[in-house]
Amino acid sequence: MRPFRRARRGYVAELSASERLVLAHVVGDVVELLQEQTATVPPEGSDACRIEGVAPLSAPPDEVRVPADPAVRRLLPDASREDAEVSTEFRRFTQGDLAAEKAQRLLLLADLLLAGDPQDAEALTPLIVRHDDARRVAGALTDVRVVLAERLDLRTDDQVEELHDEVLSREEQGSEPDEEAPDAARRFLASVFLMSGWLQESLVELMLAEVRRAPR
Amino acid sequence: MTGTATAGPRLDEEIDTREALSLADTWVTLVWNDPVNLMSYVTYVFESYFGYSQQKARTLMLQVHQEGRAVVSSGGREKVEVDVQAMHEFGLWATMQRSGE
Repeated sequence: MRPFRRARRGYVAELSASERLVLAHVVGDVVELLQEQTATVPPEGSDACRIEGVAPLSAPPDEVRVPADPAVRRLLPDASREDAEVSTEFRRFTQGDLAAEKAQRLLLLADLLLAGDPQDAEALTPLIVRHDDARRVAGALTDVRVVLAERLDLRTDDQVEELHDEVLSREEQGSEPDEEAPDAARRFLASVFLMSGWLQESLVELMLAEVRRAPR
Repeated sequence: MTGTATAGPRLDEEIDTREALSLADTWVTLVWNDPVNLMSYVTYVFESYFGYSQQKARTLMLQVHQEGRAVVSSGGREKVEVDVQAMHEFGLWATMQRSGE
């Protein structure tokens, strides 16, 4: 993987086919989780009926529920810590739109990852993010990392530091991924967490430079 | 241009204070620290969404990181709701409350 750099056609990183597949797979899982937890999946065939450019109406109150999964609750947190009524009302008016936007931009990221038809699993090929899409892609990477952090039980900045050290030292030792290892699932999530973090960091640095260039 | 840039944040703060004093029912947007969000991303959100200066965005970001939370905007309930929704869309952990609570 090579970090994002600025190019005329957009921000361009380079990923191998296997990195793309791993990341796209996790992105797909997050979309599924989000949709299942917020039930924003439209009924079969309803896409054809949607009118372009018209925002869907806010869901009626009885259809909005607090997501049961802690990772999704972190994506769609309570708007108030002490006032349940404020949280409920906020959820009623925003949850549908927020969940839909998060799902859509995750799907955009998955599409970008799965674009192209690389011949060689290890050869690096460009991942192109148009300047206009960068904010949504950075948001999608954030949501992926939020869900992974919840699954990895990362609660503090120190725990994230330790995870970095853990993964890096394994890479330095050159140990091959062992799918039989008892902590294989955790190792997999940890490596995707770091990979999406590195991608996001390089993308955001470029976006920040762009914001500062733009006249206020 | 240099003068404008220096005066910017001070003027912002003055306006914020005036708003806070003039509205009976004033709410604030709080952003909380989490182990996931990158310092650069939080700074990007504060600069691009709120239009804060580099300096103000950095100060707020460091406050979130070091003190666990920061007040990032204030106003009437509806305005703050919009800000909280935007923060959630960016993936930041934000809440709202009546100021002074």
